Amino acid sequence: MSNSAHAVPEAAATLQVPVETPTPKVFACARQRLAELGRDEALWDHAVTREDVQHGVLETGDFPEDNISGFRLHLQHDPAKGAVALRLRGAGAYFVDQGVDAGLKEFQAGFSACLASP
Amino acid sequence: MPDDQYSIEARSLRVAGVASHDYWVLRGPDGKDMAELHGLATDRETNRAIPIGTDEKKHSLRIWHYVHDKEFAAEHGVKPTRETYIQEGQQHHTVLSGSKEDVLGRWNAAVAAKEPLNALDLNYPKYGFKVFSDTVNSNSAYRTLGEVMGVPVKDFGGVIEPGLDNRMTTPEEIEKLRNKDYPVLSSREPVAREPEQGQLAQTDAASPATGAGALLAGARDGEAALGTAMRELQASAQGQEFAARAQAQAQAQTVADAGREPDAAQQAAARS
Repeated sequence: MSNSAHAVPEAAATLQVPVETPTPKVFACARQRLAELGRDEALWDHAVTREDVQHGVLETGDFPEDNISGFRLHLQHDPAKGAVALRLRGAGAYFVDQGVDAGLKEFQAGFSACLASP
Repeated sequence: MPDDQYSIEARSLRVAGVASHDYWVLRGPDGKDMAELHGLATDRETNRAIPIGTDEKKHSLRIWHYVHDKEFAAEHGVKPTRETYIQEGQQHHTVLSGSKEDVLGRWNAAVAAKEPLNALDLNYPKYGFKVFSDTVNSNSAYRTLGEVMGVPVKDFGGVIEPGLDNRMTTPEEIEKLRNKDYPVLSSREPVAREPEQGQLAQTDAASPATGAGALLAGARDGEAALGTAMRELQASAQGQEFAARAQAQAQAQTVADAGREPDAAQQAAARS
């Protein structure tokens, strides 16, 4: 759900993946999905700005910064719990929500399919 | 409107309740929004539009063409986007309905003006307005693009529109950017007016000076963010007086319009 209390519109979700899924695979699927989305939609064209395999964190578009437009992803993988926590920020001018709820679902669809593949 | 008519629409995005970011929308024959033109604060380093301009050294006023229609995007060689500022309940005016050739001739002139206007690399004022000199901001871009298209540059009632009286460049330069195949349409020519239910009708008379002054003072004194300054303005006696005055003038305008147009008078009576 998007959180209107934030100045930056944000949606979050947690996906369950098989325990001990390698983090590099999770990251590869995230990168693949981001590339697909970025090809067709300018809102998604932020680059990966942080990839920390040790801590299971991948981010795009300087995620912690507030004053940036477009869809920006924070992904946190916990291999022991088999959980991938996703946060999507999506501000436009004047912090208008550019559809973070729909954007997160759009990301999840291709990302989950990639993770399910051998 | 006939099915084959294209149109250009002026729209107002409310910012923090009392201010307006004015922008342009291109609509296709089915009324579908095909594209939007905005002037926005843009990061000089990343060349990306940003939510709020906060630093004149880092942020520039740039024109952005957000194309929703895939074919139209391909014609312009740009990536289509869902990025949009169209929201239900916004004030809007159709300033031109006409043939594809006429409407796109004007719209494409504005799109072509993007490059030279962006090359000016104008500073975007902190939080969108200047205290001690003329404000040139997104609303100035709206005026500039409207004049390039040769369509009436409408203002909106009941909101503050800082920068709307200014341009990004001189009238002579704007004239050079126009498509001369299409004449400048007078703002006095009749245009479709579509105030939505619950919204103020267009009014030209509500001077924003008092409200803007309060807003500017709030931002200057406290170095507050735009939203904070706007909220303070709304809560202030000055802001409430401005809003009440704007509403009264909008109602007076509606009555005056109703007096000129019998059908509109009946509609106004039916609404009240």
